[in-house]
Amino acid sequence: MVSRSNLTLTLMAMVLGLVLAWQLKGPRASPPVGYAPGDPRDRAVNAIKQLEDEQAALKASIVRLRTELAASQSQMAADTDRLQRFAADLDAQRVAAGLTAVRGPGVVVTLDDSNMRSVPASSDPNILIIHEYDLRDVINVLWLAGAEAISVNDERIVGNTSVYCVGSTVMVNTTRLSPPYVIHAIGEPATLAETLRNPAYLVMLRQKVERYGIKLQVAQVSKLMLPAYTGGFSVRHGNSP
Amino acid sequence: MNTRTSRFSIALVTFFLGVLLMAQFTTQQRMDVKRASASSADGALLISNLVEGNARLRLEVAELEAQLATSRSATNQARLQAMTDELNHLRMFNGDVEVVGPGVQVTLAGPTSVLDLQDLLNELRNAGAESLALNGWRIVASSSIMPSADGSLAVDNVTIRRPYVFAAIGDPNTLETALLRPGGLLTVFSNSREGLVVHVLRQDRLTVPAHALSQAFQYAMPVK
Repeated sequence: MVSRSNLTLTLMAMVLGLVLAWQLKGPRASPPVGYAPGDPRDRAVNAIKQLEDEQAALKASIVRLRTELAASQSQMAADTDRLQRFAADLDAQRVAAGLTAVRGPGVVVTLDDSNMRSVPASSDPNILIIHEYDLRDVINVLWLAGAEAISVNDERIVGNTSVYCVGSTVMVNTTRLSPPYVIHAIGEPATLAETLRNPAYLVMLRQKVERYGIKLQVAQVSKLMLPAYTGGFSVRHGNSP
Repeated sequence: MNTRTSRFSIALVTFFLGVLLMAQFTTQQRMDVKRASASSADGALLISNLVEGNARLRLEVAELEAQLATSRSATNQARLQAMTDELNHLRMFNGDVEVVGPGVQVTLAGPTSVLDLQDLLNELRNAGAESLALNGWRIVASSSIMPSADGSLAVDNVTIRRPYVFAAIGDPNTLETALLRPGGLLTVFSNSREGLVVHVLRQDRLTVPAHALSQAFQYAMPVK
């Protein structure tokens, strides 16, 4: 009787040990309990799995798109910077080219024909009027003296301006001008005026002033307004490498 | 007594066995819920959260894609291109850059007055020269040709020596025709300037350098 009851106790203890070992080992490796295919819980698990996969894919898309957008935006910012720089450069180049009106101090040079009715028999009566080369000479002196902008009777002198003569009519930028010729030059007024007085320059014009009554007046002014060049300019035959 | 003791032992062991089995079952069930959240109420909540969340994520993706498309639109590129072209034209016009192109080379050999050289520069501009250099010095709007201190000539206050050679970039035909027209300046030079020899040479490729001096304005302010 004792041995039977010992045997029973031994069996119980073995089962208890097994159960204890199972419990301590934990449920990690054990299969889900009470599960069968087709269980509603199984379908839910599948749905969750799908949604979680979708979520992972969407989050990956967002990370990728944010990276691309940041790259694109920094490119756009660089473009905007370049656009702003280009706009500033263009403004400066347009001002330099004479495509904008400018104001500043400078000189007003007035040239006019002589009042004399006759010249000595040996001289050409043309000597009594202002010619295109007189205007060009004055313009050259003004540029040399540091003029930044020049106009003649409100025609801006720019890079492709020619001052020429058709008959006795002076043309500037293909616009017909008539005397008196009023030249506006923006720059340092005293320097402009002094350079115009330099006896080394305007030799022929000075002779005509002294001998034939051609009029040349120079006035320093603190405020001048020069209009923009209104003609065309083309750069079709050259390239800058 | 023996029987009673052993029955008691069996009852005790059975009790512990039952408690342990219970504990094992409960743990297993919790782990299942935790692993798959398969309890119907929790699952429904989780699914609806995921569906809503994914919808928001899809909106975000759509928004980002739209932003990216806008950001990448060609407008800025096109504007940059147009501005670059205009800037290049103006830089060439203003003499800020070297220019290479076809044109004519005009050489004056022999004595030349200041007014004659000014006249020739003017004639070249009138004939359609786009970019000019005199003895390798770039001529810009504000360039001057004046007498130099030593009785020679100076371009922008830089003394130059004979022969005077203009490089004029522009249409070679137009330039040549205009310069050599009967009664034009060069025929006047040839007929009435003693010792002055003029050559006009068409060139496929001329190079005029960039202007060497700064043209920044100190006095002239743009009027807005």
